[in-house]
Parts: sequence; C-alpha cells; structure tokens
Amino acid sequence: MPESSSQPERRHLLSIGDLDRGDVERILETARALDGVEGKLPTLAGRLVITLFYESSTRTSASFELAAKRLSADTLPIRSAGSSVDKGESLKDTVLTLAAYEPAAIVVRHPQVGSAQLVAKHLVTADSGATVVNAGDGTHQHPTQALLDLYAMEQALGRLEGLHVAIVGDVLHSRVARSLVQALGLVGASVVLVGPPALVPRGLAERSMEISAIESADVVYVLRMQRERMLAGANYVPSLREYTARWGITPERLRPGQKVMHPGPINRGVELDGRVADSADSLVVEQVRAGLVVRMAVLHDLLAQGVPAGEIAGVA
Amino acid sequence: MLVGRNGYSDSLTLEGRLAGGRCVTVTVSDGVISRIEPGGSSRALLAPAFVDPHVHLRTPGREDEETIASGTAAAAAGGYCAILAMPNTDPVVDSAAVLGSLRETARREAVVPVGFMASISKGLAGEELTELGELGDAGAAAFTDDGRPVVSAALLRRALQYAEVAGRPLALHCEEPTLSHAGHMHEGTVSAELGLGGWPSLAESVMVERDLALAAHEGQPLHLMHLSKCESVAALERARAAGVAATAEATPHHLVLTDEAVRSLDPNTKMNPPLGSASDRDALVGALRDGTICCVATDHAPHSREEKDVPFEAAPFGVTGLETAFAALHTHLVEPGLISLETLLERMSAGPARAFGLPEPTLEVGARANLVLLDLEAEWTVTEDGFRSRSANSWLLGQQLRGRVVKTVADGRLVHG
Repeated sequence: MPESSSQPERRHLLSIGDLDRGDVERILETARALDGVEGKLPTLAGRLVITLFYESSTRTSASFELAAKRLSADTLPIRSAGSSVDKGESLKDTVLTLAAYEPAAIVVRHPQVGSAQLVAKHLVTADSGATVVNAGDGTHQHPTQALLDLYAMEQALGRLEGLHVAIVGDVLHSRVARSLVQALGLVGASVVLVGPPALVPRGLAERSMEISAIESADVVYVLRMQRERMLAGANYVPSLREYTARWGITPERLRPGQKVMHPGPINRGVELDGRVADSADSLVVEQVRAGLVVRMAVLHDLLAQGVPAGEIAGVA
Repeated sequence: MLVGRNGYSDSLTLEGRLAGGRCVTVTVSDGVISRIEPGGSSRALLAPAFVDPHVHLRTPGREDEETIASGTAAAAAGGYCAILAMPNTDPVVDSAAVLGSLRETARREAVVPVGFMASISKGLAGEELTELGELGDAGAAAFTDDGRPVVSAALLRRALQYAEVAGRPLALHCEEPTLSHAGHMHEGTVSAELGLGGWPSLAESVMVERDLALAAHEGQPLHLMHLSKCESVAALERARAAGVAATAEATPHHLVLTDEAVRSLDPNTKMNPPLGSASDRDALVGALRDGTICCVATDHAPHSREEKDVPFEAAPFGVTGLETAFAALHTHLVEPGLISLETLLERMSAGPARAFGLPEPTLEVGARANLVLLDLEAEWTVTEDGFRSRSANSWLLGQQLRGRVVKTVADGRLVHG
C-alpha cells in the first residue's frame, strides 16, 4: 500500500527530534480513534513485537506489551535479568540474536545514552527491516512518554497550542523532560523549567529557580527526584529536605484548576505532596491510560502506516 | 632518543614540486639527501615529513589494539618520519626496564623511528615521581602522565624542578577531575539536549592556568597536550606573552569538529578532551595559524571494535588519527582557506620537532632524508578496511577527503609508497 505519511522515510522512533508537527498530530489522532475501542484489532496479526528492557519498568513495559497485544501482534518480552545479558552478552549480540526472529519492532529501554541508536545500527548490520522504538535510553530520550503526556493534556484541557507548562525538578537527569520540551515546542505550547540551578541545564528552555514561576502554568509537570542523585556528596542540592521545602508541589502552591502531571513512580512527600497526587486536578491516572492508547497509536503509525486512522474503529 | 629498525638505508630518487612551485628531482644516497636538481614531471608536493608528538601505541598490554609495528606502519602511511609514544600502557612506562624493552622492540619492529615518553608519576598514580634522571639517561623522549592530569600541584612542581636534571620536557594533560567527573562530552546546549554528562570548558582551562602558573614560578618550559578550549588558548597566549616557555598542540579532530558532531551519538565522536564549541574550534585554528599552538598532534588512540561498538555513554574516549591527519586538515582547513598549506606543513613537521627537541626534518642536501610526497588533488574515502592501524575507530569513516600521502621517507628509508 502506498504510504500517505508526510515522512515516508521514517522507520524508527528514537527521539522526538525524529518527528515533525504533522507526525505528532497524526499519532494523537490515531490514539483518539483507538481510545474506547474494545477488544483486539487485527492490525499487527502475525507480526512480532519484542520488548527489550535493561532497566526496571512497570508502566512502560506493561503498556507496550499490552498495546502490541491489542493490535494482535505476537509479543516477546525480554528482561536483562535472567537473559544472556547476565552472561555478559553485548547489546550488539543481543540485537543480532533477536533480529533472527524477524521482529517487526524492537522496543528498547536501556540505561545508557545512545543505546537505541546502537540497536538501530545493528539491525542494519543484521539486514533486518525492524523498527526501533526507544522506550528510554539513559538520560537522553523517552519519546512515547512525551506523546502520551501530550495526549493526556489535550484530553484534560481541550487543546495543546498556547498551553503553558511548568516542568519542575531534576531536569538534568530526566529523559522525560528532554522529550517533553521538544514535543511541547512542536505543538505550539510554551515551557518553563523550574528547579535547583544545578539540576536545570541551560539551553533547553526558559528556566527559573523560583517555585513561584509555576503560578502562570496551565499544567505543572512534576519530575521524579531520583534518590540516588541525592546521595550525600552529590551536592546537586544540599539535602532532599531542602529540595522539598523549596520545590515540592503542595496544595498551597497550586491554583484551583491547575493540572498536575507526573511520569511516575512518585516519591510522595518529596517532589509531590500526596494530597496533590490524589486530587481531582491530578492527571496521573489519565497519563497511565493514555500510555496504552498512545503506544498502540505509535506501533500502528510505524508498522501499519497505510491504514488511515479513521478506519480503525470500523476495522474493529 | 628516537629508535627504529636498524641496519639499512635506501638510495632512491623522488620527483616532486617544492612548496614554492619548483619541480625538482631529489636523490637520496644511503639515506642522505645527496642532490636536489631542477626538473621532473611530478605534480605531487615534496615536503619535509611529519612528526607526531602524541601517539598511543598500546604496547605493552593492548597489542590487540596496536603494536609498535602496526602503529608505526600507520604513521608511515600518514607521512610521518617520527612519532612519540605515550606511557599509559600496562605496565606503565615508569621504569628504565620497561622503557628499555620497548626501545629494544622498536629496534626490530618500528617502521618509523619512535620516541617513548615515560610517566611523571609511578604507575600514573599521581603520588610519587618516577626516576626522571635515569629514565632520561635511558632515552625517554619526554615525561607525561597523559590520559590523566597531574592532580597534585606539589607533585607537578617537583617534576618541573627535576625535569632540568632529566633534560627532557614535561607534557601535560590538563584536566581538573572533580569538574570533568561523569562527563561524556563538552558541557553546553548539545549536552543539555542529549542528556549526556557535561564536561565544562573550565575542567581544562583552570588546570592549564594552574600548570602555566607553576611553570612560570619555576622558570621551566612546559608542553600542553591536546588543547581544546578557547579559555585555554587565551591562558596560553597570556603566559607566552609573559615569557613562559610554553608550547602546545592541537588535534585534527578538535581543529575540525565541534560538539554538534556528538548529536550522531557515534562513539567515534567521543574523545578526551571532548569536542568543544564553534568558538573553541575557531580559537584553536587561529592559534595554530599564528603559532601560539605550534604543533598538530593526532592523539592517535586505538580502541578495539568491541570497545567502541557500544552505546555512546558506555564507549571509551579516543579516536585514531595517524593515517588521516594530513588529509583531514588539508580538506577542512587548507582548502576552505582557514590556514595556508605552508603553515600546516610547518605545524606538522618542524613545529612539533622543535617543541620536543627532535631534529627538524629538512629538505636540504646533506640532511638525513625525512620526506613526504603529497598528492593534493587525490580524493579518497576513509574506510574501515583501509587502515594499517590495528584499530579503525576513526571519526572520518565514510568521509571523502582531498589530499593523500603518496610516499614517505623516514630516517633515510622508503617506508610508504
């Protein structure tokens, strides 16, 4: 079938940088069409989706696997623990091995920046046509998280264009923040990064060390404070206690109606007050729900681009 | 100080064009230039061969990555008549015994004469001085802890004081480790976007400033290795203006690339010091042009294919460079008019020789023949299977370059072409 996409060359989703605005809008439209569809779709019947996870994950691995199953794909989840990785197999050899099963897609999460690119490179070595979906490579990119965040924002607020989003916390070590800043830029939303100076790098977006900078935001996007970054001697902030006092998101710091998001897992009482997480303005559960339909939409978009999104419900 | 394969000299004739444009035929008899006569039909450029003051031969310890034989063959293919090898091997070149055994091997294997540097501190641990005097007597070409900085200011001060006894210069890798810690690339917008640990310019420049201050205080010369940041260049200019006898080198990759290249996440763009900004590169090119930086050094750093075929973040620092240095700089600096060909040839030959007190390759009757013949019009593509080096971790893989080494004569012997 001829490809109708604006980017017929695109094969992998390694970074939000691989997408243009049209791609993002098409994926969100596909997700809307998939949202609420019951049962399985036959889209990827007979095709194999491998999820290769070198890092612990609940949401991302579960939703990718479920998304592939909902599209009738065969799934093959591989975790580094208990696999040949434990025996010292290199990422290259693992990819060459998996390529022999002729997957349609490999979804990969890995703790190091550049791992998704390496997987894509060695699929070429293996003469495989498989698509790579980056499910997080170190502190670099997590593109499907940014797409599902856009979807949840649009569902809650009715638009993306012109939204103002404050991203709060450890931007430096956050692949989620990097992808989200790029994605928000693509859809015409504005961003301010708020947090301790050492954890908010220059050059990504407007930055502020004052928590009051969240006042004008439509959405306050709270990043996880990774405890390992806060060990004594790391000195990004003097202490976790001081971080929470200055940048923790509490009911008192929010306006009614301001939406709050968090990619999970939450450290309650550290970056996010439990009362906020459980409030009506929290979109945390919506984000998890969006994760499933958006990952279905991404797999659909990459692997079955010829099928227009409008026909999806009809196919069901 | 330089050692190569013993026992023979060549007699040959070379036709070429001199830098001034004159076509000549050069006769080499028993390794010495005996006649330079007008005439000949070759359009290739004949020039004094190159000297590389910064090469990792990985021997002893990582002979899978490079040996004295393969590294010097690579040097020959790159137009070099002399190279200096770094001591960060396993074991470290920190005793006359290790140095002696390397020199012995070089007498059998080295295609191009090699000088071996010895370490400043025992085991590169930065704590105790090596026996600089004995190492100097045993033929150490210079002293360096390259790969690591001399963290202790007091140790460097003692080394500067004692270098006069040893009679050989100190060459320094400038890196403040608490600032470079966990860095994988230059700190800036690109590192912020890629999420890679940033290595601020300061990590180099504060150490350059400190080392120059120590050299000024002791009144001793100093050589700064692989300078990469504009702040370091400014510090060097100030120190030289104040009378410090400081020399410096820059690598082809720092003279051509910027941190934008890292966006590819190609592990062959990962080097120490990391690729800087466009203003860093411009400052290096300017300093090479005006002589503040007096030599090009490749920092040829072979790594096995397995070591580099990993995600960027997991990859070791370093790229190869001996076989591509001239072509890369001719293509990217000379052809666009950033630097003259004459200047490039000087910075690759006489410049480094002077900085390390080595004989300057010269194209004169009576001189030992150290010559390179260059085809400036030849276009070629850098490929993984085209290297004499045992390793292929080049930042130029797949690129087309203009300018090629046709023949190399090193210490009176035809070693390439």
